[in-house]
Amino acid sequence: MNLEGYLEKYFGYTNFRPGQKETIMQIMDGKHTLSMLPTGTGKSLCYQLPVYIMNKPAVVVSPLLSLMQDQAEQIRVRGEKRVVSFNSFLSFEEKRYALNHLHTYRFIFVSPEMLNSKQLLEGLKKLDIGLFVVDEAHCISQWGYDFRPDYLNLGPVRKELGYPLTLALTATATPAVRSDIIRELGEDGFTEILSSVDRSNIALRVEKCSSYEEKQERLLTLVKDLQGPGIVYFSSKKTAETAASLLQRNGTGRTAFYHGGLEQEQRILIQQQFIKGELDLICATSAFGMGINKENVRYVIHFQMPMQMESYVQEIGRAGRDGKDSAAILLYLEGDEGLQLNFIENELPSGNQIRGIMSYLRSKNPSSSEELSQIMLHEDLAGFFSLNEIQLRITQHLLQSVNDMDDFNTVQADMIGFVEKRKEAKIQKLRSLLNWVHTDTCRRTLITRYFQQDILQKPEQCCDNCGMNIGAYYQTDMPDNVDESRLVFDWKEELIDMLIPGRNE
Amino acid sequence: MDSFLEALILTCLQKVKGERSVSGTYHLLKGKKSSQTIQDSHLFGISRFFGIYPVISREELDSFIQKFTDRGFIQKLPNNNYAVTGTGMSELDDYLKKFPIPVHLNGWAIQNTADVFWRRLSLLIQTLSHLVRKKKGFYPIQKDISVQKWIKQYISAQKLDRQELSAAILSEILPLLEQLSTREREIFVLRLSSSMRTGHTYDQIARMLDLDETYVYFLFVSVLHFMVSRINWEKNVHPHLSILLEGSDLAEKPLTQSTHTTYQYILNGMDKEAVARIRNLKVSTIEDHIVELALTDARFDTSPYLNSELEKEIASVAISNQTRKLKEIKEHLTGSASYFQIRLVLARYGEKI
Ligand SMILES: Nc1ncnc2c1ncn2[C@@H]1O[C@H](COP(=O)(O)OP(=O)(O)OP(=O)(O)O)[C@@H](O)[C@H]1O
Ligand SMILES: [Mg+2]
Ligand SMILES: [Zn+2]
Repeated sequence: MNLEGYLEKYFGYTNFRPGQKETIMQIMDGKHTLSMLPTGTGKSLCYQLPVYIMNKPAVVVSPLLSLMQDQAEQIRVRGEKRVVSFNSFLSFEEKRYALNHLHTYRFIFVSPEMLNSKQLLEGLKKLDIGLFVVDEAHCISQWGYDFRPDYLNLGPVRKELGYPLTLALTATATPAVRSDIIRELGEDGFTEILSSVDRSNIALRVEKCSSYEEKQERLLTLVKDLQGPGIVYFSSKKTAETAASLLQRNGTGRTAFYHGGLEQEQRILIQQQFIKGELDLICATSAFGMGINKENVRYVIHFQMPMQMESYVQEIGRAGRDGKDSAAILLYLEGDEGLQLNFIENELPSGNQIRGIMSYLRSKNPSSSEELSQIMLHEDLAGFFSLNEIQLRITQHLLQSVNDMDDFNTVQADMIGFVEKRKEAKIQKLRSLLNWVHTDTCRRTLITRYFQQDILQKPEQCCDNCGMNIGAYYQTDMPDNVDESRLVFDWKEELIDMLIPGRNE
Repeated sequence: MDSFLEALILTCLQKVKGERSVSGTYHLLKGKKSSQTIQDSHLFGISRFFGIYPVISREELDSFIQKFTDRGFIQKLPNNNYAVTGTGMSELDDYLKKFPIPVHLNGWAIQNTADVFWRRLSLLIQTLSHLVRKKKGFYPIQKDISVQKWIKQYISAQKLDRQELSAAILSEILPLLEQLSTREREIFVLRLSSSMRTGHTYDQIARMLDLDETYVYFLFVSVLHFMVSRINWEKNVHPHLSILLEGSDLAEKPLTQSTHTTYQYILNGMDKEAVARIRNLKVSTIEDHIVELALTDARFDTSPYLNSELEKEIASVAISNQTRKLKEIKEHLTGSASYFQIRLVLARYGEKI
C-alpha cells in the first residue's frame, strides 16, 4: 500500500497536507527528522501514521500537561484505545498498572520530568520503540521563546534508550533554534523538513489606537462585526476577565473568559463549549489554545502584543485550521511593550538575587555537587530570595553546571552573564516584534524573513500594508441578539431530554 | 457585602466570637483534617462549613479581612483575632435575609463524598446521554482516568441495558430534585453536560439567574449534599445512585474498624502513645493505623508525628532516588528518622515516587 492508502485507511483523509508526506517518508526511511510545519496543519499525523505502518509504539514527549491530555484524548476519540500518558498526576496504582502494561500501548505520552523516573526509563528500554517524538521541540533551546529546562534532559534520555528513531516537531523555530534542537538531541544526523511558516489563509492586520478607551471601543466594534468564532488574547487574567464582562454587557452574548486561574472543571467546560460551538468568543490569556483543536476559528485578536514573533505566530495559528479565510488583528497602543518588558524583567532572577543565593550556598560549604543539589532541594531558596517559579527553575538549571566547588565565583559570574544575555536576547526579540508592528511594508514578508524563509506567493488578502479588506471578514447576516439571561428554561424537560431520546428529536 | 462568600466568611468569624484566629476559618473552609480544626468546627457549630470552599487562598482570605476592616464590619481584638462589629452584624443579617445560607450544606459529614459523587454522576449522565443516542467518541467532562474507568465498569456491571439504566437514573434523580427549590433544581441541571450541550460554569449560571457566582456555587454544593444524604438515608429507594457513593466517603478504601477507632481518638487530640495505652494495643499497631489514615485520606494531618523539614527531606530523598525502600531512604538522610516517619511520608507522597 502506498502512503496515501494508509492515510485513507487510518484517518480517512484523501490528501496529505504540505510537509506531512515528506516527513513521513524520511521517518519510514529510518532517518532522524526535524520537521517544521506551520501551526495547526497536522504535525501529530506525522508520528501517528508511521506508528500504524511500522506497527511499533511511539514515545511522545510533550511540554504541557494539558497539551498531553488533549492529544491523548484526541487519539482516543478517534477510537484508538492503546494510549497512555505518564505525568505527575497519575496515582501510584495507575502508574504501576501502566508500567506493567507498557508493551500493550501504541502511544506513550510522557512529560519530560517523568523521564527522570528510573522505573519508566527501564520500562521504555525494554520496548522496541518505533519512534521517539519530541513535540514542540523548540522548548529545548535556551534561545527559543518557550525554554523548558526539563527538555534538556531529552538528549541523555535518547542516548540511554539507544538512540531510537526520532522525530522533532515544531511550528516556530528560527535557524538558530533548529540547530540548537539538533545539537541538544544528540547530533546524530538529522534530516530537516521545512515548510513555510506562512499561513496564507490568515490575513494580517495591525490597528493603532490612541488611548485605552479607544482600544476597548475598537475591540467592541470588531467582535460585533467580525464573523466568529474568535479568540481575543490578553496579557493578564484580570484584563481578560474585565474585557469579557464588558463585552457581555454590551451584547456579545456567547462570550466567556479563560485563564489558568480557573478551577479545572470550569476550564474544561469553557474549552468544550468553545469547541462545540456553544460559545462564539473567548477572552483568554496565552494559557488558552495549545492543544485545542478547533477547525473553524475565524479570527484572533490580540488586545496586547505578545513577547515575540514566535508566540504571535503560534497564537494567530489557532485561526483557520480548516484552510478557510481568517483574520489576525493586533491592537496596539503606544507603550504596550512596557508590559512585556516587565515580564522579561520578572522572568529572570536579578543580579542581586543571584549574588544573594550564591553567597548563601557558599556559606553552607558544600563539598561536592551532590551535596550542593541536596542543599538546593531542602532549602527554600524561592522563599528566602523571593523567586517566582520560573526564576527558581532557571536558577536550579544554572546551578546544575556547578561541578567544582572551588569556582563558585566563576559560576556566579557565568550566571549573571547568562541572565544578562538572555534578557538582552528577549528584549531584542521584543524589539523585532515592535518593528513588525510599526512597519509599513508587507507583514507577511517580514514574518517569513524573521524565520529566514522566503514567501512563495502573497495571497490576495495579505496584510493591512499590502491592502486587505477587513469587510470581507464581517458577518454577512447579523444574528438576533439572544439575551441568554432571559431564556426560558425548563429544568425538568431538559433533564428528561438528556436521558431519554426521541421526544424532541 | 459583595458576595455570598464574604457573608459566609463573616458568619464564620461571628461564630468563633474572636476566640480563634483567621487561620482557623481558612483551615475550616479548606477542610484541614487536624484535630484542632475539627474540634473547633464542632465547638463553634460551624462543622457544616468544613471543607466546602477548598479553592480559597490565604491571600484571598486576607483581602476579605482587609475589606471588612476598612468597612468597619470587623474589629481587631487585643489577642489579634477579629470580632464582628454591630455594623457588621446588621449588614450580615440584611444580606442573609436576601440570600440565606443554603440549608443542606453539611461539609463535615458529606463534602468528600459529594465531591466524588458529582464527578461520577456528571460523567455518568454525559456518557448515558451519548450511549442512548448511539453517539460515539465524545470528550469526557471528567479528566480523571480513575473516574472514567469507574464509570465504564459501573455501566457494564449493570443488569439493565443502557436505555433502562438511563430511565432508572432519571427516575431516581427527579424525585430528589422535586424536593428542592426551583433555583436549586435549575442550577443542578445547568451544571450537567450531555450530548446536547456542555454544562455551564458557575459564572455563566450566575449571569443567567442574576445571582452572585459564589452563591450559585454554594447552592450547587448544597444540592449535592442534600442528594448524598437522601441517597444514603434510603439506599433501597436509590439502588442505582447509591452505588455512586460506594467507596467515596472519607477514605477511598474503607478504613478497618480498628483504624477507625484510632482515628476517633486522634481527632480528639490524643497522641499515639496515649491511644495505644487506652486501647491496650502496641504503639506499632497504632502507627500502622496512622499510616493507613495518611494513605487513604490526603487531608489527614501528619504534622504531630513529623515536622515539615524532616518531611521535606525524606520526600526529596525518596523522589530523587526514586525509591520506596525504607532502609535505603534512611541511609540517605542526613538526620535521623524512624521507619514510621518514613512510611508516613511515603504514604503522603506515594504518587510522586
Ligand atoms: N492530511 C490531512 N487532511 C485533513 N486534515 C488533516 C490532515 N492532517 C491533519 N489534519 C487535521 O488537522 C488538525 C490539526 O492537526 P494537529 O493538531 O496535528 O496540528 P499541529 O500542527 O500539531 O498544530 P499545533 O501547531 O497546534 O501543534 C487535526 O484536526 C487533524 O485531524
Ligand atoms: Mg501539535
Ligand atoms: Zn502583505
